[in-house]
Amino acid sequence: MTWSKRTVILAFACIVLVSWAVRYPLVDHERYQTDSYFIHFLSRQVVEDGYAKWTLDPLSYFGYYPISYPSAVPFLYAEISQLTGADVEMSILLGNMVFTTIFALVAFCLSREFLNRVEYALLASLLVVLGPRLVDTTYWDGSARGPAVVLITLVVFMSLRYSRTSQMHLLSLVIPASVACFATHHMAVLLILYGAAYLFSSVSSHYSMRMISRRRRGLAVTTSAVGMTVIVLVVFSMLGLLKESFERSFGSTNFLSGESTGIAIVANMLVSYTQQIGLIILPAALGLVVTVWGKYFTVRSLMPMGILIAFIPVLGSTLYVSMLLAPFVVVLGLVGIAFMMRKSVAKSIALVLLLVIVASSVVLPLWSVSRWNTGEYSTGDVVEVDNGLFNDAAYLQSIAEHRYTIASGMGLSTKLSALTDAYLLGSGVQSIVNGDIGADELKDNVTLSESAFPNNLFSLFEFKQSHFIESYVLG
Amino acid sequence: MVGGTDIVKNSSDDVWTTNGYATHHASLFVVVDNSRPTQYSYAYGNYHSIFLTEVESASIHNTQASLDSYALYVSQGISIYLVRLPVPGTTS
Repeated sequence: MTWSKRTVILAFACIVLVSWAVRYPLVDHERYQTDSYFIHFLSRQVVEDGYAKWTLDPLSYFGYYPISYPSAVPFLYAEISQLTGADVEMSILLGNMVFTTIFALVAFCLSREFLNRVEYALLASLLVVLGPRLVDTTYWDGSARGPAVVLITLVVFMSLRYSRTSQMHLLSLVIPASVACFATHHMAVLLILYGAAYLFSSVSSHYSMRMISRRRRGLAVTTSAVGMTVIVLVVFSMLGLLKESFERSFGSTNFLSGESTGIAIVANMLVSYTQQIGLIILPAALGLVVTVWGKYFTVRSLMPMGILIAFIPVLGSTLYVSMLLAPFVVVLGLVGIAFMMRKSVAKSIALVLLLVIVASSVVLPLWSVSRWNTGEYSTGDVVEVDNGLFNDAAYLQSIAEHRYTIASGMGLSTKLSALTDAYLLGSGVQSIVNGDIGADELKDNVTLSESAFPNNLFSLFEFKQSHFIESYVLG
Repeated sequence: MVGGTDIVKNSSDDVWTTNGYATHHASLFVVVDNSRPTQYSYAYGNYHSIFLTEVESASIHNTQASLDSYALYVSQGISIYLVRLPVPGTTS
């Protein structure tokens, strides 16, 4: 069956509508997550003052200057607010829907690089935009992680397309889009891992082509994959990074708690990633086998596997990594399902599996968002922000506008910063916005960061005189 | 035990510039979460705060001297106080 262009567009429009429906807000206000109200605060400052007070140096736009933050997302929400007349909270909701739509298109285009049949690419798009973690991150949430994932995946897609077609206009888009990634979120450093994956795929495909002539192709790719995995594991284990981040993230979870043995860590990791990406992770394992034992090897066919291997060192950072890996896990899952569909014995099993995966891709994000909405952080803060806080903020605004204020917790402080013009004291960007630290004071006291790897990837310089109001609130 | 406003009164200026910083912000609005009135929520947990205890009781914890702390607003969620810190150079 051949799908007409009109049918594909219609199916894609349905995917977009479903992705909007899943994100239709069932809460009264922007949800509280670590970064959301902080970005809200920054955007509101730009809207009110017409410029960003924290951009004291070109590096400030990328968050690499002390007391700054990657500025693209606060600027974007401020722009949406000024263009539409909506407040920042509504701009975040609108922005989330726009990012989701763009990501659906990017996921579709990216999948077309790996999957020949358009219906599989559409399916990939659906499964990616309904990934539970992505839904949570783009569900009335101002965090820069969502836009960063969209941009990074777009850069990867354009780079892959350029490597195949050598279209110069793609290259001219890749460069500014890559810069935009760094202005969006520090996780843009992970672009290096995509480069490593491309290198792995190139070397493996060339190596395997030579081995194919000697009828040893499977062995060739297996050798490359195992070799790269071992190198990555050894290097990062030596640095002591892998063990710590894995134990922190997967040592004890709701699935397996208690002593963090190696088996428990792996089991917890698999459950965690399944919850965040979806059940498509199950046939993805088959997809890996099909890739390794395929009839021919190209950079493109090996790339999804290469990306999974390259990301092993950072798998402990599930919040960031799960969304970046989702498009490639989905591609591998569909490679596995496509393989089963070609076998008459396994076709009916594949159809049932596909049905379960699609059904669960709608149910799983709804369940997990509901769970996150009603859950509590370890500080007692909750994701769903109560209407009462907005009344409280209105009162605070009336008595404390441009007056110094302390809140009894970081969460409360961040939320009130976003909702009022009270000068909430803090040690970060708040201190520049409040005028608590002057531009000259900052510029005169910037030193090179003494942070160790990998923190120095995000923090090039530091300002040691940073105020720390918590020192006596905590006391 | 040194804590709360004692830190403000007794500390010398170090990297946190506690004393000088507090002098510049001697008058403050303090917003307290009513569900945890004497705890400060920081990063991944809640910690007992002598300062917030002082704000609530309007007294300095180890001297029982009075602290200028006035409750301005109480709702179900938060309380707002106006506080004047006892830093050198200010009158209480």
